[in-house]
Amino acid sequence: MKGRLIATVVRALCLTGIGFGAGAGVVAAQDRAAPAPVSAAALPRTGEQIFAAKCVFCHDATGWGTRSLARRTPPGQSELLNRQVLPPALVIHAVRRGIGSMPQFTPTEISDEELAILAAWLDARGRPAASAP
Amino acid sequence: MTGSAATGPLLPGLDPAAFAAALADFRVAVGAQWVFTSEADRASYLDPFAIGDPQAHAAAAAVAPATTDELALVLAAANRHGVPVWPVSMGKNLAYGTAAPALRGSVVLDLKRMNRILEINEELGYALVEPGVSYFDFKAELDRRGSRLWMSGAAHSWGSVMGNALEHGVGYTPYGIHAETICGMEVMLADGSLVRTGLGAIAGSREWQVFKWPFGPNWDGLFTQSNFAVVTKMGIWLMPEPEAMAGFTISVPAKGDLAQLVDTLRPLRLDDTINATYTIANAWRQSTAGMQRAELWQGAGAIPEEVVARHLASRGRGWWNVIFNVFDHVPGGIDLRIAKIRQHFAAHMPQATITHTSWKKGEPQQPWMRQEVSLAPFAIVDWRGSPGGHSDFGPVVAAVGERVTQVYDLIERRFIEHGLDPWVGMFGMGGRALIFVADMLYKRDDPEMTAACQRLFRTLCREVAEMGVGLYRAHITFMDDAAAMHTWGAAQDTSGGGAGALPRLNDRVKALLDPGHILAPGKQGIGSRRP
Repeated sequence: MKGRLIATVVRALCLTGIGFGAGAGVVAAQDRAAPAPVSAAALPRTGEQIFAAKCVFCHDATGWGTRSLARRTPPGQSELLNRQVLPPALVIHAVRRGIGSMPQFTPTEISDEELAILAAWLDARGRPAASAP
Repeated sequence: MTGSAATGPLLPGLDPAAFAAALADFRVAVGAQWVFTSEADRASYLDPFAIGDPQAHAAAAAVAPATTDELALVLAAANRHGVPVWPVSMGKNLAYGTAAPALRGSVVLDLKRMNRILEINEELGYALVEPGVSYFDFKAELDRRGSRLWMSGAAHSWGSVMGNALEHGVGYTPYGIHAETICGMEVMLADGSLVRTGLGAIAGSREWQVFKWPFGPNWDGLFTQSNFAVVTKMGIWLMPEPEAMAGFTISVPAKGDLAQLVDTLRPLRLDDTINATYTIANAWRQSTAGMQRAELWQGAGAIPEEVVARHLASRGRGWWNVIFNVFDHVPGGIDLRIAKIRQHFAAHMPQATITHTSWKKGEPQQPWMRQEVSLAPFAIVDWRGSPGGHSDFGPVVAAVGERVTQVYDLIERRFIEHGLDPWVGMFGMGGRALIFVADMLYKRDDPEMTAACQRLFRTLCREVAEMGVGLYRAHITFMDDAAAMHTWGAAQDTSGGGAGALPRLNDRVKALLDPGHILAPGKQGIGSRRP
């Protein structure tokens, strides 16, 4: 349930322009002669925002990634936001090299710095749940 | 992970010192953090759905300019040192090579950072975008503006709006032949010079994105599925929100009904009653819905026809299933289209079962309208288990029942002979042709299966070419094979190479525009240097 609520929130962020949309610069018509420079590296990113931008479309409660993981993870562990143990090294490996049928992400889609933030956020989310009685 | 001393596979014959000098120049051009050479970073540019060894198409490095000025410096360095680059936009040409180059040892020219939506013109219904704008980005911006213009999205939204149109991709609205919605480009030639096509060639033009056929030749088509230049900006037309839509599902019972089905659909598509792409799915393609292959069949080879037939019968479905949406901009017009489609099928194909649903402006949108961004189509990749992959054989066939059936029967037979499920969709992108997507679904870690896919694809290339049929697109593994199908005029090849007239023309244009062959050698077989 926790994962579903957060997935709903991050999907809403996407649909309001935070998320995938945040990666694209928008230049108004009147600025065509002198468009603003792109500064993708300056995008503020938290783990939650990165998850919303890059992961949620496959890894929300009903996404393809979640359904695929359900075939090889213990019950209740297929949704990443509910995962009790998700080591940063595994996240980094899966994102950069792909895992199973999941395609990998290039460093222009998610930088090493963003990937580290994402991995740490997912790791930290799992730990309290893992230690809960 | 960036900027390490590691190197990828070098192009045969390329001096390692020249490659190192190119990397140094690339770093000066774009900044060291945007030149990727480490093993992990290079791995991220491999084809995730490789049909065999992904290293066969491994890149030596990747470089990511953010502006046309940086791009010009990169191309100058590539020319100076003889290092070929492989331009990608989002790098999500999944099933056709993704971001990986046709020629192993090329450097991926990653244009993801050139990601501006330069204009969305609400009055005239167009946008001007750079390569790195994904469908996710674009839809989010349309929604943020409350735009009344609709995007024609591709099957999955991870890809680039520009890249999909350049690769002749398909959508499911009246603007679904994406290459036909292109209007005006800015391209950078291999020598670093920028050119604007169409009315963009007029300084101060406000008509660049509004008319495709001004004075002189239309160059836009030359820069699709080619390697003559790097497209840096592209105009694309957008559809005004319709008054109403209807979504049809038509089930046809018997395998032998295909020719009749195609001939029944054709006049409706040709006169624009059906004004968007329709998809005909065969029995195997329908069987995947919500299932894993092992739930249906665990034996050797392709799933037998009788197993598929039983499965479909249990679901109350026919051998063929057609889906499409129709759109109308006139109040009440959609009801006339619905009635005409139903009457036409009643007269010409009474055995078909037709259902439809509808939507009117102001009502909440529904999933069948395919207006939301999505990655749902990825679900098919796991059909044979993980790690899965897919790529397709895509012949273009005149929308005539007898011709379509002839090609379909050959494809189904050869797939089964090669142990692969004949997972076939046929797309009525326009009124006059069907684009087949005969999908090869394989396990990437099964070398016998991927080898069978390669044999199958090449066998079909030879056999459909003998029927006078060509392809609309191909995976990087098969670009030379697909190009070699264009044999008309081969007898006039004075070089003795036996190449057709069109491939020879392509190579002549390539040699003129890119004499160093640094732009995507081998793309669509043009300027191929593969051994």
